[in-house]
Amino acid sequence: MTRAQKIGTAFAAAGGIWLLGMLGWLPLSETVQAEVWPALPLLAVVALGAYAFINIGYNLLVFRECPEAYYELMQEIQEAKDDLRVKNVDVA
Amino acid sequence: MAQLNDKAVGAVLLAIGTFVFTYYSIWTLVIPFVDVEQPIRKLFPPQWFAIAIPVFLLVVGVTGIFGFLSFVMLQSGKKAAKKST
Repeated sequence: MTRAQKIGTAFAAAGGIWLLGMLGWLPLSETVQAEVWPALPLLAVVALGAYAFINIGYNLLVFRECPEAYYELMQEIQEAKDDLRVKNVDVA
Repeated sequence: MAQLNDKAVGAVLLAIGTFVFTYYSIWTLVIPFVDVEQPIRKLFPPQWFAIAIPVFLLVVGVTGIFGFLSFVMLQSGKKAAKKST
């Protein structure tokens, strides 16, 4: 079973249960049936968006920069450029 | 300096994400069970908005995406037509 199939099945199952609840076939309390249940898919979408934001934001915060690797890379680029210039290749 | 800029953007995204998640979760899952007189209700708009705002944003977002897609496709179609004439 591929990952897409797994996600699709989970989606279909959750959607089916939600539809059952909307049709009134599940034993839900009055408040839940009227106010909480219809908002559940929206909660899922909002949670997904918020999760994406949190993930990106957190990784941006904890990303470690390595200055030594940066200098080493710039030096290697410079050496490569000089080398190519000697060999009559048009570099900046 | 680019590092600080990235970290600032990351912090802002993190803050927005956590705030939106907690606020909306409380709005939809907790508030319906709170009596109408409790002071906490004053922090949250009526339940109608809990559904209206995300639906509205979704419609605007999806329309924007499809509009942009059709715009780009029409432009490239026009360019192809121009080239062949």
